[in-house]
Amino acid sequence: MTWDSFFEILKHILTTQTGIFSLSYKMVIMWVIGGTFIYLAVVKKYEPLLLLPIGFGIVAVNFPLVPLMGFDPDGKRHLLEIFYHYGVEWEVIPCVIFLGLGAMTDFGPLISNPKSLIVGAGAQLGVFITFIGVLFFGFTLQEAASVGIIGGADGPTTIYLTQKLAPHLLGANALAAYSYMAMVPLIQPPIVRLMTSKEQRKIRMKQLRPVGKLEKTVFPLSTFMVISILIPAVTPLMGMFMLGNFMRESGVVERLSDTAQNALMNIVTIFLGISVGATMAADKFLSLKPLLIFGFGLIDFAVCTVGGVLTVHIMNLFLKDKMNPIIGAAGVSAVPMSARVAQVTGQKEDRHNFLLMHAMGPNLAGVIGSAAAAGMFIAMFG
Amino acid sequence: MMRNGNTTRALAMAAALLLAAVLVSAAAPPAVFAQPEEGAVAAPASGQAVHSTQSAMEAKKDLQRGDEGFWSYAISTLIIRFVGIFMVLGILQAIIQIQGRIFGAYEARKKAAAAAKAS
Repeated sequence: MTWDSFFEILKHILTTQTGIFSLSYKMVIMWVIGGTFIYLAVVKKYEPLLLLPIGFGIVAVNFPLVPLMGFDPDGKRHLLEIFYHYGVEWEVIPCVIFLGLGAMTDFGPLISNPKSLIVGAGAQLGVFITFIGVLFFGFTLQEAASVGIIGGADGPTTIYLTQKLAPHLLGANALAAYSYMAMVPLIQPPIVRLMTSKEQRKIRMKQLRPVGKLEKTVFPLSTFMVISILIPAVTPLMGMFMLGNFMRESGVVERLSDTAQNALMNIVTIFLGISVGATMAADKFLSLKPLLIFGFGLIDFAVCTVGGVLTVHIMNLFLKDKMNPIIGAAGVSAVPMSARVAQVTGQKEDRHNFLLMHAMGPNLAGVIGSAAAAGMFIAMFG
Repeated sequence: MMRNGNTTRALAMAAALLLAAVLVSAAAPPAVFAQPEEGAVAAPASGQAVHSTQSAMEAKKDLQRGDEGFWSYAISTLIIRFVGIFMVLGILQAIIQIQGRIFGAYEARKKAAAAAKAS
């Protein structure tokens, strides 16, 4: 064996069996992006349950030659490709997450104050403004619809809609949605202060009426039927949401409800996070569109907050018992973060004003509203 | 008195929303009720999933920016959707209010019966 052939073999190994010579600067940029999300999750504790696996997924798929997100030469799927294909592409995970969310949700505040549904509708304003905005930048109708839903601040709905209409934007859309959801405490308070006076922020709302067990049990069934008749396109999401809530409120399947809320939810969260992160390979992500998505996502989120607060102002013109406009900001879903933000913002003006339960109504209405918006997008562009 | 006023308002709102829904349906009949166009696959009369027909709307959803009618289609779907969200959630609100009245009356009757039994 000569030195030449030895070096030839070594060179072959280094170029084809290690990633050293296939590394590109784009991959390094993606490590930085992934690292930023890991930092936000671990150090800042912003939505760590999702941003941590997403950040790891971003870093993991941006190494050359790693068999994670692609196919073997014989056509076998790689590990993360399997998670992505069966979980996200088949639209299983968003629906299972909605099952868990339904099992975790107490709809009492919404049932006792049904007016808050209108606030949830008003808070979808940004969804439509962004839709037009991104069309000006050359997005197709389907892409614009998928970007528009980011302002609804509902991760599973964003993923479900994007997968149906513009799957190539899944990583950017999901990341923008979860990032802005994590930044609710930073984004919403200045907007709320800008749109309300000190006196308006001090409004104390009438105590909510107690809701009986029977009424809570019937609610998911009737809501499921209404949504399924009016917007069948969103039945997989809303159906699972209402099934989860029905399991919770019926009280006869506590084991199932507990599994949906905890074990199942945790399992699908792991798969969802890593699958979304894995869609962000450098060659797909580093382009103008994801940057625009992040920019418009922020505008979308801000306009949705404005829409919610504005809706409460308009409703107050007709209501005898005024609503505190702060709770309008909770009309973007982001459950329960935006309701908590409303509570904290309200207590800065009046320490004895408890808005949390009042804000939970618009907050839950926002979940239904953004799912309804998604259903209409799917019906029109799907 | 107050509750009666609220109920009247809720019913009036529900009626207005239903009327609006009927008007919208009349303007653009949904796929399941519409006559299929020539050469189109008819929507199934029943079944688990309703597949949309090859309608004019189907063709328009693939319009590209710069195509004739792109912006008018985009804006009109936008308006329909925005109003649609209010309609859907408004109908849901009316139903929850009606349910609340029914369950409120039921609870009150149950309480009254329990009080009568106790006395």
